[in-house]
Amino acid sequence: MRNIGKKSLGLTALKATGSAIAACVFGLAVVQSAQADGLNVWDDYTFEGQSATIEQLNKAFEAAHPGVTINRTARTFDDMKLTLKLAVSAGDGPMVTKVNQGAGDMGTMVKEGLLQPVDAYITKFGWDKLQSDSLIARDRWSDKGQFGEGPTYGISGLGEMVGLFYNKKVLEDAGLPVPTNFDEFTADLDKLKEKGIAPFMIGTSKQHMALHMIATVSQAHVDAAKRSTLDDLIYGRGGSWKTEGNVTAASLIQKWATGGYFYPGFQGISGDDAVQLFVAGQGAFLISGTWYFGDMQNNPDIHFMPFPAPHGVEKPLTVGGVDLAWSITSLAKDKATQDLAGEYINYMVSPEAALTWAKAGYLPSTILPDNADFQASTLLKEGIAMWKQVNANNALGHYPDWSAPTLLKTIDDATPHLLAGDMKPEDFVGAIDADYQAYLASKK
Amino acid sequence: MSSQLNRTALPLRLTLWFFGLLTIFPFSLLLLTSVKSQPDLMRGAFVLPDYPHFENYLHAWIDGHFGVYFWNSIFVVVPVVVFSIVLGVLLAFGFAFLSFPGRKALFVVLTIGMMVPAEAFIIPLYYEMRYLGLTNTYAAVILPQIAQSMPFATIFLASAMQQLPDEILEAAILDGASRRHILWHVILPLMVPAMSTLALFLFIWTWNEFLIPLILVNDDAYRTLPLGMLFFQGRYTVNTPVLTAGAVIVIAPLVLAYLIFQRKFIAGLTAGAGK
Amino acid sequence: MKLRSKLDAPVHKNLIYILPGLILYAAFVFGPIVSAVGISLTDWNGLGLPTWVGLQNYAGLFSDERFYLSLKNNAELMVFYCVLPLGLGIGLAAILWNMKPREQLMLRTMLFLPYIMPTAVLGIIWAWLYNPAFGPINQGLRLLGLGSLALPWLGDFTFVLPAVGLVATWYFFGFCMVIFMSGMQRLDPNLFDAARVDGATGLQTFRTVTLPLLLPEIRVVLLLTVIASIKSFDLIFTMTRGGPANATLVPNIYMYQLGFQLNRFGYAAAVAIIGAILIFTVNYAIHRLVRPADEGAN
Repeated sequence: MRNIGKKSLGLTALKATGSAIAACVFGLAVVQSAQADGLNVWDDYTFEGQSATIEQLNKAFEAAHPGVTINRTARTFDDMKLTLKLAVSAGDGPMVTKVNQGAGDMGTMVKEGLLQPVDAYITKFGWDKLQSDSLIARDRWSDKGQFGEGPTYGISGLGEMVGLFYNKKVLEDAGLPVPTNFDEFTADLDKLKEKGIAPFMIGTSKQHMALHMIATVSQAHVDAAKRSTLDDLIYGRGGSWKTEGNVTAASLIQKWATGGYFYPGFQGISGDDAVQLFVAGQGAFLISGTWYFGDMQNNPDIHFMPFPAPHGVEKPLTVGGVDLAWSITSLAKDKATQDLAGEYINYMVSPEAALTWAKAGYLPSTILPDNADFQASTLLKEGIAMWKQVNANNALGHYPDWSAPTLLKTIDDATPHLLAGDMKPEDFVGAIDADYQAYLASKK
Repeated sequence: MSSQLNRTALPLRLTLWFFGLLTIFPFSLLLLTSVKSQPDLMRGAFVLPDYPHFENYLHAWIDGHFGVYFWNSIFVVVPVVVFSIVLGVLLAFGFAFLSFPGRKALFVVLTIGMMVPAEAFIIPLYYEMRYLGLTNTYAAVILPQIAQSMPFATIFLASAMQQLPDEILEAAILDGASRRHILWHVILPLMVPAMSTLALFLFIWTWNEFLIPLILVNDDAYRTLPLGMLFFQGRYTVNTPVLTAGAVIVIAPLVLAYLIFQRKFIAGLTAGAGK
Repeated sequence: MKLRSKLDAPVHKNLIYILPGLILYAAFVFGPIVSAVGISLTDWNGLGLPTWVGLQNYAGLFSDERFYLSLKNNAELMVFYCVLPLGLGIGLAAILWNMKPREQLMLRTMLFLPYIMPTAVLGIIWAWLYNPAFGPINQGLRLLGLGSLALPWLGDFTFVLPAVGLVATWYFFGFCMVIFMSGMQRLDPNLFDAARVDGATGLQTFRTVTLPLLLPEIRVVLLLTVIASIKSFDLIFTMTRGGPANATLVPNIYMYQLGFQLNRFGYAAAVAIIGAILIFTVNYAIHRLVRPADEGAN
C-alpha cells in the first residue's frame, strides 16, 4: 500500500451538466468514425496542491487539443478502491483512470478485461525512454495472472520513495550528527532517548507507517545486486518472506516500539497526525514517504535521506515505487477514444508535466532534464537527487503488500501485536509468509 | 403527584446533573473548537480563542463542500419523508382495515425488513441500482430509503389507526361516505399527530443514514452530510477547527428540530417503543 | 374487527392501497435480501460470474477464527450497548421521575440529545476526543494531574473496546431513561403509597414494585439495544475500522472488509446472513424470556 496517507476528499467540480455531456460523448463515441472529443478521467489527486496541479495539466491538455473536454472526477485512494472496478464493469466509469498496481486492483481488473494494454502507446510515444523498465514492470500483468510480466496496463506520473525524514534542529540541539551509516543512526537513537527526546515520531492507528518502517529497515539490508529474490517475491514467482533480513527488521522495530523509542501514544494517533507533530518539532526521525513532502516542507529544518544501510550493503534498496498508474479502461471503446486516452496519458508522463509537478513540490517519476529550471524546496531537491540515484542504482524496492491481495490486511492485523511485544518477530514474518504462500497456492 | 415527591435528595440531583453535563460536554467542546484557529487549538483543547473564527464555517461550507452536502441532504430527506408517509398511510390503512390474500404472510415479510440490517443486502442492492442505471443519482439514495421506511411507517401508522375511536369511523360509514373520503377526510386529520411524529423520525433517520449513500453513491456531487463529513475528515485530519465546524453544520438542523419538537418527539418515541 | 369488514371491499379494490408500498419494498429491500441469501451460496468476486458453492461459505465461517473473534467482540460490546444503558437508564429515570417538572424537562432534553445524532458523525467526534496527541480527553487528564491515565485509547488492545463501547453507552442511556420514564408514568401511584404504608424503603419499593411493572419497557430497551449492537457499523467504522489488530472487529465490519476490500462477496453475504439470523434469534429469545408476569394470566 502506498500513499494511503493521502486518502482524502474528492475536489470534484460540480457540473450539473457533466453527466449529460458525458452521455452525449459516450453516444458519439460508439460511432466508429466519430472524432473523440471528450474523456472521462478519474484520478486520486485529492490534496489541495495536487488537485490544483492536475487541473492545470488538464487545462493545458485541452488547450493543446481544441474541442476535447476532460471530465475529471477526483476520488480518494479508499474511494477509488471501493468504486473503480464496479463503475467500469457497470459502464458508467472512466475511460482513463488511475489504478492501484498489484493483485487487488490492477490484477483483478486485467483478469476481468476491464483494462486495455498500453504497449502500443509505449512504442509510439517512447515512454520506455522516459522511465526505467523497473518502474514500468510494475504495471505488467500476463494473461495467466502473473504480475510483472506480459502486457503493460499503465504508467505512472509520480514517483514514491520511503526514506528517513530527520529534523536537523532537534539533532543539533541534542548535539548529535546527522547519521551516515546504520551504527551512527542507532547511536543517535540511544542518545536521543537518554535525553528524553522521542527518537521516532510515528503514528500507527491509521495509514501504514509501521509497515513502511519495517519494509524500509528490511530492504535496506538488500543490495541492489541481489534484488532478484525480492522481485520474485513481489511478482508472485515464489520464494519466502521468512528471511533473516525480515526477522531482523521486525525484531529491531519491536525493540524500538517496546523500548520507548517511539513517540508516546503512537498506537492511538494516525500517520497524518504524526506528520503534523513532526512538523511541529516533535521527534527527531520519521520514516515515511515522499508523498508527505507537501506537509514536511512547512518546517525548513526537516530533511530527507535514504535509510542508513548496515555495513556491507553497498547499494541498499529503498522502498518505493510509483503512484497509481494511468490506465485505459474497457470503456474507451473505439480507436479514436483509445488514441485520445493514449495522448492524454502521454501528456501526463511528459517532461513538461513532470516539471509542473516538481514546481508544485511533488516528485515526478519521469526523470527531469538536468537543465530543468525551477525553484524547489530543499526537501524536494533532496528527493529528486535521491530518485535519480536510486533509479541509476536500480535500487527501488517494493511495497510488500503488492505481492498478495490480502497481505495488507494481514500485515495490518499483525503489526499492532508486533509493536506491543506480544508477537514474536519470527511469528510476524511467519504470518506474512503464510498469507503469501496461500495466495501462491490459490493461483495454481 | 404529592409535593413531597418533588424533593429529591441533593446527591441524587447532582448525580443526574453530572450525567446531563456529560452528554452535552462533547457538543460544547465541538462548538468551542469550531470557532478556534489552528494556533488556538495548539494551545490546548480547553483554551478560549482570542476572538471567534467564524470563517471556519465558511471554509467548511465552501472549500469543504458542506454546502453541497447540505443541499443534497435536503434533496434526499424531503422526498423520503413525504413519500414514506404517503405510501405508509396507504399500506397502514390496508393492513389495519382491509383484507387481501396473504395478509399475515405479507406482514411477516414486512417485519423482516425491519430486522435485517441494510449491511446484509447492500451488495445486491448496489447491483440492482447499477442494472437500473441509477447509481450516482439522487434516486439511488431516495428509493431504498423509502422502501426501508415502509415496515416501520406501516406498523406505526396502522397501530395508530386501530386506536382511533370506533365511533367516529362508524359515524362516517353510516353517513355513507366513500372509502376514499373516509381515509382522506376522516382518518387522515386524526392521524396528524402520528404522522408528524413519524415525519420527525424519518427526518432524523434519513439525515443520519450512512451506509446507503456510502455504497450507492460515489460521486461527491451526490454525497449527503454524514458521508461528506467522513471524506472531509480524510482531507483535513489536521484541520480540526474546520472539521468541527463541519460537524456542527451536520448536527445543527437535528438539534434545532429536536429542541422545537422535543415533547412530540419523546412522546412519539416512547409510544412507539411501548408496543 | 367489525370496522374492518365495513371498510373492506373486494380484493382488487384493496390492492390499490397496499401495492405501491409493497412493490417498492419488494424491489429495494426484500428482493435484495433474497438475492443476498443466493449470493451467500456462491463464490463471487463482484465482477465475473458467481460460482455456486452451496453451503461452503457457511461451513467456512465455522472454522474462521476472525469470525469467532468478531462474535466475541460483539458479545463484549453488548455490555456497553445494552447492560450499562439499561442500568443507568432505570437508575436515572427513578431519580428524575421525582424531580420538579422544569428541571426534569431540562435534564431529559440534555440526556436524550446524543440519540438524535448520526452515529457516523459521533464516531468522528469521539475519535478526535480520544486522540492521544491532540484530543481533549488526554489533555484534560494531564491538566488534572492524571497523566498516567492518558492512554492511547483507540490504539490500545485492552482499552479500545471499552473506549468504543462507552460511546455507545453515552449514546443510548438517555434514550433508555426516557423510555423508562414513560413507563413509570404509566404506573399507578397508589401502588407506591401502599408500599410506603407497608414501611418499604425507596429502594425496596423500586425493586419489588417498580421493576417488575417496568418489564415491558425493559423488553423494548433490550430489543432495541441488542439489535443495535448486532447492527453496529457506523460507530466502529468511523472510529477504528475494526482495529487495532481486529480488537474491535464485529460481524458487520468483517462483512464490509470481506466484500468491499477483499472482493469476497459470497463469503461476505454469508456473514451478513448469519448476522440477520442472529438478530431474529435474539429478538425471539427476548420476546419469549422477558415477558411481563401478568401476560400469561390475562
